[in-house]
Amino acid sequence: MNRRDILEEVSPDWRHPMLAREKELAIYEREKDRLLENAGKFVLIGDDRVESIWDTYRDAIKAGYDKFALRPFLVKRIEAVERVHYCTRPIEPTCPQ
Amino acid sequence: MPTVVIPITAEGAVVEVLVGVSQLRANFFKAANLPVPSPLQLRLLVDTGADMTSIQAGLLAPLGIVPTGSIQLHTPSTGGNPVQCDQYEVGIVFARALPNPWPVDILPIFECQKFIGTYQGLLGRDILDQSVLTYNSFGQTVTISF
Repeated sequence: MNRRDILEEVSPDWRHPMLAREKELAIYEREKDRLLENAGKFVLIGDDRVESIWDTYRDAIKAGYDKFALRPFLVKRIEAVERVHYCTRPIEPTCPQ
Repeated sequence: MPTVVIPITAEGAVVEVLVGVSQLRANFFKAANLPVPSPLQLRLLVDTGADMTSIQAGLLAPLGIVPTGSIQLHTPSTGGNPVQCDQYEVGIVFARALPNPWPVDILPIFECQKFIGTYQGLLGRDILDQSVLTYNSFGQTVTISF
């Protein structure tokens, strides 16, 4: 039995460990309908609320450091249907907490 | 036009880059009089089949970065469905580009399990989309010009 088989047996959800920004993602999902008025832009979420919306990823990250310094924050593109990124190599993404 | 010439080996075209904190994070450290973590020298496989750059999990720990995003990712290993995974922002420098090094100030990436090979990540189309990529089968080189 290899490592993957063991993981599947003891924890079927091993591919989906808790995301580091789980709380902020939940806020994004909760506010998504309202945020979609700004589809294509980037939302900055931290301190349990939507902080601001920006035109570019860079601007949103900069605002994140300005506002939250080293405290956790999330920057996410506002999309009705989230874009899926592809990699043709059989790599296994990790989601450390 | 800064250009890096990469020999094609049995593994493919593997380029050496410096990976550090993003310029924005570095600016924050400097403003706060905190030391900016030194960049890491890593080897990335040029991969046109990856639309996003990825780096082997754990290697970024010395940079002290934490996720600032989240993406959906689909690979042959994700069981036929995309998975949600953490996204980090880093800065990359092509230190061996001539006539001058080429920096990518801020780049969202994700982490993945260890690769089989001598490389430690995949250089995806997020960077290649900013360049001219030339595959020279006669000279056995790949050239990336920014």
